[in-house]
Amino acid sequence: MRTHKLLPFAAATVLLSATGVRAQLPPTLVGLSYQLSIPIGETYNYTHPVSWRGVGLEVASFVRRDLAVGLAFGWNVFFENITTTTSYKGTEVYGNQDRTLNVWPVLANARWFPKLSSNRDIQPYIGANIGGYIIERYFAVGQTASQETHFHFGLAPEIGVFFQNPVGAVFLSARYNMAFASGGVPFQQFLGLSLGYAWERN
Amino acid sequence: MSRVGKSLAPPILGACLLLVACHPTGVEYISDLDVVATTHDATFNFATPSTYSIPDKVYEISGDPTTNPPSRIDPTLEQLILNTLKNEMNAHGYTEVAVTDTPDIAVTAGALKVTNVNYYYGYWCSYWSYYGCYPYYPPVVGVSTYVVGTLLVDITPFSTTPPGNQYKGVWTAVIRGIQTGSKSTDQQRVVNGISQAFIQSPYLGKP
Repeated sequence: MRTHKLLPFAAATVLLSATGVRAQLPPTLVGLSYQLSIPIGETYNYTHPVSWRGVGLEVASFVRRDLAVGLAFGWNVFFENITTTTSYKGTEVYGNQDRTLNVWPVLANARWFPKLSSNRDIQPYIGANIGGYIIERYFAVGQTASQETHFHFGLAPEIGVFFQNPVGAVFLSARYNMAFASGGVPFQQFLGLSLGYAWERN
Repeated sequence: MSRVGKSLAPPILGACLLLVACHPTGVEYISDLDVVATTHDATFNFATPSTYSIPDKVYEISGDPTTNPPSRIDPTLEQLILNTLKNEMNAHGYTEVAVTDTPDIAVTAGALKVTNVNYYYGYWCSYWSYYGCYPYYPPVVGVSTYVVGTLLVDITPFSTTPPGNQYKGVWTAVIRGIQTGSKSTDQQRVVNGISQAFIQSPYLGKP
């Protein structure tokens, strides 16, 4: 009898504690972004124009109120058509060239959201990314083309800001992408500017 | 919150992928496929020679080396190539002499013509998928051909008694393009190609 009286209490305790655990689960954010990329260094030497073809997918979980860890994927396309002379193994080659870099970042990241004011609707952050970049480099001159794809180890510091609204958040970010040399392809760098939309995924 | 986000995700993702997928290529005209390649012997001092000689013929390099005499290219184009080469050599400070006057270097040119044939075929089902695929209909066959012309130009130190009876070239230019069918256009492209070969070889010429 006494046991029976305790059962509802135990059940209520379990339910309440489960709800409590549920509330403490870090919310997961999913974000999609449009990305502009400014080539730097060897990337600039290969393709000069700013890339306006880029897309990003972000997933992040808050492990603390001010700290989130996540994954970032992307696709950035650098392209240039140029008529110039290129030196290759002692041979000067002149012609109309198609140069393309397809870059697919695959990064793990951590982001710190410092409390700068009581207004949490505008939330800046500082982040660090580590992982890899799959880079496909395509070069065509005349009727000849070559293509090579390599995986590059990479790092990317990042800053950004979230503008929260009742249905999600718009975010802006700047990420300095550094992909280290691999397979004869030199160190690649570009500054990625993202405008995206994120929402919470429970 | 998440429902709104989910409903917005497909259009955002779709728009982004469309932006990325828009991937142009730069070739608009046949002349965009023209290529000029040059290479040289870095140990050779091109300022040393003063005189050059050039044959009065441009032979066509064909698949049959036993053809004797070898074919020559169109006389108008041949003369244009030789004159352009002479102009460039003279402009770079070299003086043309007869081969009997023992020039310091010899300039030679040869032409290569390759006809490329592409064909493809497919059944009507590719075009009329609504009606299904009926293999007993004759397949669609398409054929395209194009001619690639290549001009090879060499500079060689001249000797009346070359070692091993072989001349070793010190400069080679390859000028390559697809024939357009317009004689005047193609001739202009050859002239431009020869000029470009000299432009991209700043080590050529007398100081």
